[in-house]
Amino acid sequence: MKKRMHVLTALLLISALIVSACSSGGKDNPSKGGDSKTLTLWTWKVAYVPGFEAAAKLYEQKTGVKVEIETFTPDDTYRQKIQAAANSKTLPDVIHYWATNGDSLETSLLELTDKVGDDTLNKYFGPSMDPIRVSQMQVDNWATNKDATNVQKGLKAGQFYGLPLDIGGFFTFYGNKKLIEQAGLKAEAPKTWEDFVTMIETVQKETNVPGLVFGAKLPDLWENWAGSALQIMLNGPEGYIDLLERKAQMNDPKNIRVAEALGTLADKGLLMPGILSTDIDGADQAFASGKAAFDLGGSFTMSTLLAMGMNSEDIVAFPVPPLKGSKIDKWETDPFTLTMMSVSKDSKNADEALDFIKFLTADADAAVAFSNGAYTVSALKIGDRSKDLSPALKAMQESFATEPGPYSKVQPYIDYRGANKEWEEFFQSMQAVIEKKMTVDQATKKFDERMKSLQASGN
Amino acid sequence: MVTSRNKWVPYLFLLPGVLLFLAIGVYSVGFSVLISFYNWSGIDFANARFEGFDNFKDFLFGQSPVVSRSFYLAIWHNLLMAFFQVIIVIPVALVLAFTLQNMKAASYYRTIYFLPMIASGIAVFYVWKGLFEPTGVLNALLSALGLDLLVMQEGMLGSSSTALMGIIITSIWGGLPGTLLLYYAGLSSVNPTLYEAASVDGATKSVMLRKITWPLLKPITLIAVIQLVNGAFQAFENVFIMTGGGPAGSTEVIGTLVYKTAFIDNDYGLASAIGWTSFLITGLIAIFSIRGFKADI
Repeated sequence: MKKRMHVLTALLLISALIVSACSSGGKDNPSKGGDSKTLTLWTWKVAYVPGFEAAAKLYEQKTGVKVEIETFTPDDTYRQKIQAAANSKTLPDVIHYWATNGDSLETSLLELTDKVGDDTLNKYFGPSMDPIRVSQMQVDNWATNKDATNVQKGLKAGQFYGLPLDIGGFFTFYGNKKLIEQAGLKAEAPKTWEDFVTMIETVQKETNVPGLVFGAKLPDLWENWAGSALQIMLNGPEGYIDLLERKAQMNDPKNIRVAEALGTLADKGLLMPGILSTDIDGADQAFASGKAAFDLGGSFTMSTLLAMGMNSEDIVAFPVPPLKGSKIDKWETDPFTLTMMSVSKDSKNADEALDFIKFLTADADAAVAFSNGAYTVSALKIGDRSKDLSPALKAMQESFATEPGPYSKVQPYIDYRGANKEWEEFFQSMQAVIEKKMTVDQATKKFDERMKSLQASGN
Repeated sequence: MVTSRNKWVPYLFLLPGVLLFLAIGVYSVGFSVLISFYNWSGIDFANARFEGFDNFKDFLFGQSPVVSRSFYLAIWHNLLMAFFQVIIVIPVALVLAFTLQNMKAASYYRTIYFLPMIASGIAVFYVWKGLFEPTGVLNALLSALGLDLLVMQEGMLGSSSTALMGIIITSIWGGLPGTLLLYYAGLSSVNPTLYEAASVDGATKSVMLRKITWPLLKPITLIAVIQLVNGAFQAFENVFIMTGGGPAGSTEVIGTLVYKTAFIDNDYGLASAIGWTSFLITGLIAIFSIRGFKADI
């Protein structure tokens, strides 16, 4: 009897272990089984949830299909969550993701190339599909790059796996109006970079508040959000493309001025102390709490600043001003797609999910509801319906160029900054420039030397 | 009672634990070794491409110069952390252990010294980050003491000259309680009659320390050294939260390099290769430490 009890107990334990190990749980397979009238959407952007909910409500009214939104934050956690779910084939029906391609997520997403026609694609802002659709240049680059993954090498030009959700841009400085006026200046956009530096100097001197803050803890942030715009304006998009394609040198007198722009801020002590240990949120917080007079951000920064308690009347926003003598004398926000919506290849509700993302991204009612809720500009050309946007959003949308501009010309080449490793080193060198441990001349020469050595070794 | 008829029953009870160990431990370790020989972006292993030793060549032999530079810099930072932890934590922990043995209200001080062990790492490192800010407590203290020359304008973590020192300070603070615990237990286990006998023979306290205490504590010191070195090479939390590896790569360690390579650059194969190489380095240091101590024990 005792022996039987022992055996039974042991068998029960083993069975319990096996069953719990094999169980997928309730929510772990949102796209498999469950109510066919309910879609699951994953996102990492907490600020966008009200927008998603507003659009989902409209969709439910129209089709009867519900959409449940789940948020996973911060960014890194979300990426890892998506990767783990992709590996275990438990992605949700609808995935909100950064507007990109070649991340290897394609093997888990529904290819939309033959499922979404020009009748839908033509509704979006001109260059909206650029970061999402695979280009021939990418295909050629991946074919010769030894570090390209098999997924990248298998992609074909024209393929796309997402639809553009929202557009925006970096390259925006935010100024504290009160501090600027306290310093005796007008709170308006400076015409040139040099004027801007003078403005920062004056405000810092008169108010004792540090001049500029940005998330310098991230080595590539300056280049992404300001440096590239300065370079594009200075020498035109072709000049920047030459740098990206390793056809030009950073230490060249016509290129070095951009690095010197940042170096000047450091030399004159116009950057907030501790800037190198400040990330994006920290920078916005510092600006919002009056610890810096100017902040560097993008079209998405305004909603963050407002959420942090600032009043829009106390903020002046202006695009990156050009260096004197630049080929382009004014930066028009050339919006690019920030994020996209995709469908899981394994979704049991793929048809409904595809219909939803088309609705969310290409229906005017949905686009307006989403934009107002998420405080971001939809990628859809909404024409007259822009009158239904909140005033600040309307103003932001109207500030965007409607035709492809200089950044759009450069965008297909931006991947080179990740692939060509001299840039990674250059970003760290510029951090050393901020610290005054390196001069701009040294940093740019190091970039050129590294570029040449990598080229010579086939990297 | 185990008899010949039911001798397999104990194995049944062991089976769940063994299966768990095989599934989670051996499989995950084995898979991570495997992917270090592949080019893989982290999704669907069917798309991985076998690359042999290319990943290792990239960072060990400079086949990818920038990655190689980052790797050796990270190893150097880990070695520095290990070195300073060992030379500071060991003697300080030993002294504190002696003090705790012989003082009143020892339990009160024990609680304070062991607090870092139970505090949540993430929360604590954010607090340290605040202490090291330009307007943080450290600079305020230095100013209050009249040591304005030592005030760091960019904050301890905002300058590549001082950021690593800040990380090392937090590592020492974190490593002290565990080592203190080891020595405290070790001292408690030393037979007091040895000291009595030495005292009768006229030995001074310092002689007792050198001839009795230290030799008997050598096994514990060995464990402490291995733990501290291992901890230094596994540093990630404090670096990631406080500096992210910057500024300008001045606090990059193997942990943050592996993280960035895997989760930012989506190169899981290279990240795994770096991780396993770091494991081998740590293992070699541990072996040399054991041999070095065994020669004296």
